[in-house]
Amino acid sequence: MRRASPLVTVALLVLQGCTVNEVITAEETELVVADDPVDEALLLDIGIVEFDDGVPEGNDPSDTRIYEDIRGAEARYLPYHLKTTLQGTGHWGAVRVIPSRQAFTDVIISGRIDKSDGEYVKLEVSVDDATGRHWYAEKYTAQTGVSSYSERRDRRLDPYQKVFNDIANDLQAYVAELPPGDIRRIRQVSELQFFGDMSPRQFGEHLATDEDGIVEIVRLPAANDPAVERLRQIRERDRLVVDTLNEHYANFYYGIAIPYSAWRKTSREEAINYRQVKRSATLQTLMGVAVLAGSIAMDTDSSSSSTRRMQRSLQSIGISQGIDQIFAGFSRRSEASLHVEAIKELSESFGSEAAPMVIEVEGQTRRLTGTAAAQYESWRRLLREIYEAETGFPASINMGSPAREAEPTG
Amino acid sequence: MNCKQSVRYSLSWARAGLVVFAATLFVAGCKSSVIQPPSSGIPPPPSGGMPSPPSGGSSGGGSQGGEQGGGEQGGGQQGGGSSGGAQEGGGQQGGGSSGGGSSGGGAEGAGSSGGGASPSAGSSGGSAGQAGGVGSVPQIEFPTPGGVPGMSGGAAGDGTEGEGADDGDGESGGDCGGSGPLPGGVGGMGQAGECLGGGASASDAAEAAMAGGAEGGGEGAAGGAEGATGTGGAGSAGQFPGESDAERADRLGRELEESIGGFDEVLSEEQREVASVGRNMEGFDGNGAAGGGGSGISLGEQGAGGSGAGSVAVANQPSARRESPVAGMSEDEIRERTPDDIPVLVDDDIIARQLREAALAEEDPELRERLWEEYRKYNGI
Repeated sequence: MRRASPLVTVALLVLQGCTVNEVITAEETELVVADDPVDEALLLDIGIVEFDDGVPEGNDPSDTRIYEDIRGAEARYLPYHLKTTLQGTGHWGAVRVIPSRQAFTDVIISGRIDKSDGEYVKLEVSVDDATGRHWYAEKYTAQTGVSSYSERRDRRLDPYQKVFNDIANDLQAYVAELPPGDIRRIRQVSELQFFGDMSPRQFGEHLATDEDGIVEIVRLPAANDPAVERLRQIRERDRLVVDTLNEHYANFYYGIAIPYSAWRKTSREEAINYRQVKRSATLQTLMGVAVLAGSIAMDTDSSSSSTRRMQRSLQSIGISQGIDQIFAGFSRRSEASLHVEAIKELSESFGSEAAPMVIEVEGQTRRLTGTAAAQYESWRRLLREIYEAETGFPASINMGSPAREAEPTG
Repeated sequence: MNCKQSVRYSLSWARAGLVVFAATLFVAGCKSSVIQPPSSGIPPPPSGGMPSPPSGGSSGGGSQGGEQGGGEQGGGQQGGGSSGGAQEGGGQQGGGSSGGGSSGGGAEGAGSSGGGASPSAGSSGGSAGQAGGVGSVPQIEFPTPGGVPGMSGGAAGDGTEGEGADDGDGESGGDCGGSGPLPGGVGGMGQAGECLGGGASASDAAEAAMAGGAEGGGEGAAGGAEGATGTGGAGSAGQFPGESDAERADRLGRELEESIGGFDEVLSEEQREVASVGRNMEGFDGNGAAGGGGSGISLGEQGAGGSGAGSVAVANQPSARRESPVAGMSEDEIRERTPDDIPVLVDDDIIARQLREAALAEEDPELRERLWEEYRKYNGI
């Protein structure tokens, strides 16, 4: 018990300066960029599907801190930024954001936002190719740092850039392992899938799907087949539709970038403040309890009266400080809830700003894809009639509905 | 006035009366021969007294007997039900009626009334969509002998600004023309209880948000939806008599190309609209390599397939992007001209960026240093 005295003294000193400062450095990953131009025949086109917003059913934002309007915006913003990252690597052909998986593109990336609060981001990403082969599914996380939202930063780099670079590097590492023959096959399959969709009578049997769902090429069209040229023309239009659609996404991206960044920055600060205050409150309470307990247990029965007086006064100070600290801890804990309230207000404000922009881009997407779908339908009819005129095959064969009806491709 | 004179006088009055009577009769008779011009902007399909093939675009208007069949402008109602008018072919019915044209259904403005009314050709399908609005497609009567061949309707009607597609369901008012089992042409492809062609079918396209989409040949049309840009569909193709398969294939191929061209225009218009939206790219157009990740990402620029590393082909450059006076400078040049105490990559505001760009673009080292000095003062460096 005699040792309690110096311990209490030290604890009292520590309590006076009891603040918790958290310095977080942003995690970084260097993006792997192609040193030399890749052979054009080996460049795969990528379609990034709008992300799943990851909002749970029956979501209560005050509990989960997940705001649907914000997630709706992120589901379009993050794929577009991933597109820009992938484009910058030089490892890929055209990279486009697509509204759904109904697309005939070489590689399809889909993702789900598990967490995004300005400080932490967690994405689950899945990659498949046109042949139906599942490349991989991976979870990516990152924590932003003090410098991530600096006013002086290069805005081309997102505060979540680490995640995007990780995804891009993993994709590159995977495709680097693929034999050139496989890459060519993926390109051929996506082209034939498009041909089959537009002209099922002529190209519907060029591909077959095995038991595992993997698409294989049964035969290739003749090199001099005029239908191929026609269909390639149409496919160019299909790509143009998606490029136009991506311009809408770009407008959305640039339109929301600044308020979204501001929300992430402030949300992050508030989240850190909340965490620090809460941790500090807990620590303060614990220390208060320790000091109180130590002070009560202090041995004040010294033989020397002066020492005894000193010990007793120290004990009473310790008890008083301990009680104060416990109360201060509780008080600080309630202060932490203010930060949670601030995050809520901020998120609701940004959500209401983002919602109309999301609705607009969604409307543009539907309008454009709907227009394209109608046009494709008329082209399917013309192609069928051309085929009949060229081959003399009867028109009565019912080939069923096209695989895709409402969405353009990438 | 003697007797002869009075007789002459009476005769002259009688003649005058006869002339007036004849003229009246003539004028009255003229009404029946007035040909109403089509109100649509649909180019008239080639005429010809040819039998339309079963697969022809004709629908609806199968005429019956010596009368005008489906004629009666079946649809005529809003939304384009307009079914094709039948032809009267040389005293006979042209079985091959004009194709059902199927208006895309959209009521007002919806893309494209399909055309219909192109009787002389008996074609189906909508040709260039017109601003709809009026469902009824005028019927033109051409004295074409026999049936008229169906031909593919014009593709790609591009009716724009469609509005709700009420009546897009192709209630084409009237009856569908029955099939026209007549010599000289096949009437519509209508089946009992089904009104093909004249805009029958269709459309809950309010969801699909598209207008028009008329399908000729009468298989219905997608209805219009609000604010949509519609593209009319092509009609089913018919065949001219005497036209070989190869010629038909050529003709259809040309139609496809025209349709693709039309769609290109729709997309160009769309892209112009998208580009007209200004983008706030402040902070996104920095020069040089990106830090941290080391990427060379250039937002808003699409590297076309085939672009190699480091050489990003600009495909979709936003038009709103400002041309920087230092745009043509290499990274090394920029680093060379930037003093050591000034960071190369920063998020400048407009004034600071202008100062930076002026300094970088300045050839005279002395003037350049003064500009950098201004930059330092402005930024408090």
